[in-house]
Amino acid sequence: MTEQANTSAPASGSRASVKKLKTAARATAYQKEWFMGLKEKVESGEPLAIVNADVPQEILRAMDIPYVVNQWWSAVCSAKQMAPHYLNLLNECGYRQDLCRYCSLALAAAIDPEPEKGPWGGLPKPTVAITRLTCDSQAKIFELLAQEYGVPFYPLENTVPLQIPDEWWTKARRNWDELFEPHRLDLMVEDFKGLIRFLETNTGKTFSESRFKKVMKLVNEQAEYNKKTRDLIARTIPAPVSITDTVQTVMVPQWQRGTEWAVDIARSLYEEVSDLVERKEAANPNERIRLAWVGRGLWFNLGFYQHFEEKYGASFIWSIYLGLAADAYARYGEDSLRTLASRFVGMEDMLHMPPWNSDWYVKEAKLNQIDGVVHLISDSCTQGAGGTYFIKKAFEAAGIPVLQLRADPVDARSWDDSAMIKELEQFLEERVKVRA
Amino acid sequence: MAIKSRAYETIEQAYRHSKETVIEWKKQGRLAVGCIGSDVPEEVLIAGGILPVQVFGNPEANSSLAEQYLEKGFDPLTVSQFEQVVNGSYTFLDRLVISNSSDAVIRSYYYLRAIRKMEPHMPVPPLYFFDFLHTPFRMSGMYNRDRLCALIREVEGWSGKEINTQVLQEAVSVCNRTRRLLHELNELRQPTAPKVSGTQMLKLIGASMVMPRELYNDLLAEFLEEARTGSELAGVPVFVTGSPQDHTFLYEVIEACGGLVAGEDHEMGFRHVKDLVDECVDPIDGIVDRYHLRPPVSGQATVSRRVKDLANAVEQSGAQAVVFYVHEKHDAISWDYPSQRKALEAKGISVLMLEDQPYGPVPEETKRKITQFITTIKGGRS
Repeated sequence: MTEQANTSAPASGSRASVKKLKTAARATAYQKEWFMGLKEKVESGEPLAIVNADVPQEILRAMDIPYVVNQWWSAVCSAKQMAPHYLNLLNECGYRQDLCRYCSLALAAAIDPEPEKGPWGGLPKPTVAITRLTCDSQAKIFELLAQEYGVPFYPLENTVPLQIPDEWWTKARRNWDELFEPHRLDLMVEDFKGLIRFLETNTGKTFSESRFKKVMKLVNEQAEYNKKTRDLIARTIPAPVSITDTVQTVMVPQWQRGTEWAVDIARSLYEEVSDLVERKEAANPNERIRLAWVGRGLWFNLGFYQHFEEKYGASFIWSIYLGLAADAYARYGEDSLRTLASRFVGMEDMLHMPPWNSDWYVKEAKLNQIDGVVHLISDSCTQGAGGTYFIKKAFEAAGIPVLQLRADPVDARSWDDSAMIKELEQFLEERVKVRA
Repeated sequence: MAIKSRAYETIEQAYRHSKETVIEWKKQGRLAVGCIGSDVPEEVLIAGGILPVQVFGNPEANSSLAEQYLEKGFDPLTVSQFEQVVNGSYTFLDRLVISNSSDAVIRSYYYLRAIRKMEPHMPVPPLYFFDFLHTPFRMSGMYNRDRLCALIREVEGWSGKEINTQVLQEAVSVCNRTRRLLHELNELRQPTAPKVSGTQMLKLIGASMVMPRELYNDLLAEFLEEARTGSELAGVPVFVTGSPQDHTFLYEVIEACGGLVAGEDHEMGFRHVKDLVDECVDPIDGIVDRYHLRPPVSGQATVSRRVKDLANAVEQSGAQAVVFYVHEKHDAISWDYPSQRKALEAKGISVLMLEDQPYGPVPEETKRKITQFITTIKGGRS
């Protein structure tokens, strides 16, 4: 996943990805630089929040509270091949082996008797922990983590829609009040106010409306560049870049959204991709088929995708990360806090609930001229599953073959590289009809 | 031996043949609405003249149809309930109300909704989601109040009957009568002089989820008087926690090998009736408070809350031992276990963890573990 990760000894069957873009190298290199800076800040007395991915980080950004995203940290631990160590620690504490892995590595880091041996010197002690109750384990994992560190914990509620909107992606930017029922937005705004007061009380930091508006504006700028990049890749054959380059180049700044740096990376990605298109340079000049990777990234083995490019001319050109960055984040509205609520209130629906997600996947597959889909399903995570039957059915109804690949995105212990390669090769040959 | 009588047999019959009970009700031209999740306020449905019907799984049938739709991460009770809906076992229901009592149940709602949209030929009743929140904050309580008012309006639309304060108060009284009677029966399974077994109690509580309520209350009152005169039962008092038990296999095994289930905190047991609605306040406020402020179901609570709630419930039951019976894939509650075990053992309560268990009949290996556990406790007493 990272340049730093490339220097670690990979687990058996794991391989590091080879990136092409300068922006990708900049983004991944920045992670360590940013993290070390964050550690310095915390050591000098600044607060630190550990937050789940679906927490409104814009609020923390506007309050100048450094934060680490739980799933980002899991991806780093996994890329550094440390997930097995952490998961074994949890098992030793009495938590059974097949519990949630993607969301529990930070908890494991908290109970590690040698935390400094974690990636880049380990996760610093947080001041607060914040999660959203989007699955049953969230409150439990975050409360345990908060107790382990002896810090307060804030759970944000999650609500369920009664309506199924058509083509949410056409309304999300500016007509989001047609997408989300008012009572859900009202509750989330109230919850955000509670979160702001919690942060003011527990960190001593203050909330500035003007800073918040600036953050919201920067997030929109970043999202608009991501949309342009997605559109450019979608219409260009052969694709100028593959997900080996885009996943991290989108996700590192996604966790930094609301900063000038994140906008700069999004702009730089777009410009670099545009330049490749102009020069007719392809990620894989022998591109014969275009594949989509649906589901979470295979963080401990991001080089996995490249084997199929080389052998079959099969390019993984689409992942949820750039797709969502293009369609799901931009929001325009007068009331900033309500506008922010509109970004998060339906995130779970868009990602994990059919037909919100299945309709969107098909739309994206068509837009990106996808020939086949590989869907990573993690059986240890109900939340991540998200209607696999309906997703498969929707793709197949659109004439796009799907392979459902079962694996955990961070736990390399159960990964069987040769079996996975064989399964995917068989899919490519028999369902997508491509020969090596 | 546990007492049996005409009243008990009638209730037990309704528990064993719940669908027939509902079909009889429907023959009178009345509505029956299915419930999945433990937060659907039965008071509102009863106020609308509707029979609330808990959707049970079928522990002795496979769930092959549901398994096509649900991922492997779903717990088997939810899978079995889903199966019963999609295989047409509940086509007689006029509606199905689902509440957010667990992540798996919420997802079931989404998937059933997707089936209704994408596969309209499937026998899924019209759906309604009751979005009831569990964080113990005023904000959630007020949200729940609004959702309850929306449900009342919805039910009025289904039944064509106005649900005013008086009608709602009457329904609250009927439901509270059920709860008070079951509280009295619960007293009769306490270790001091147990006269009702855990298996019986589970059936009696389960029957309340499917029977016309006034008939049920009258039969239960009759059985209560008979049970008071019954002979004392023997057995090691055991508390059951973990996954919901919507059938009696586990209880029967525990009680067959020398245990007596003195209490439980899962959704299908005494928790279902433990808390009353305050009849001295506006019924809407009373209903919201009852469902919102009681101990949350295991999956919806923080670990510290679960530790506290379990310890209290075990103490109130007088149980000497706790059996954790956790279905395969019922993952979230396993995060509670190390802390719960520590707290219980500190109080001298013996603990048996049975994880990764199937839904349905108890496996032989598990039976052996239960027998050994209860024998060890018995040995400790003598």
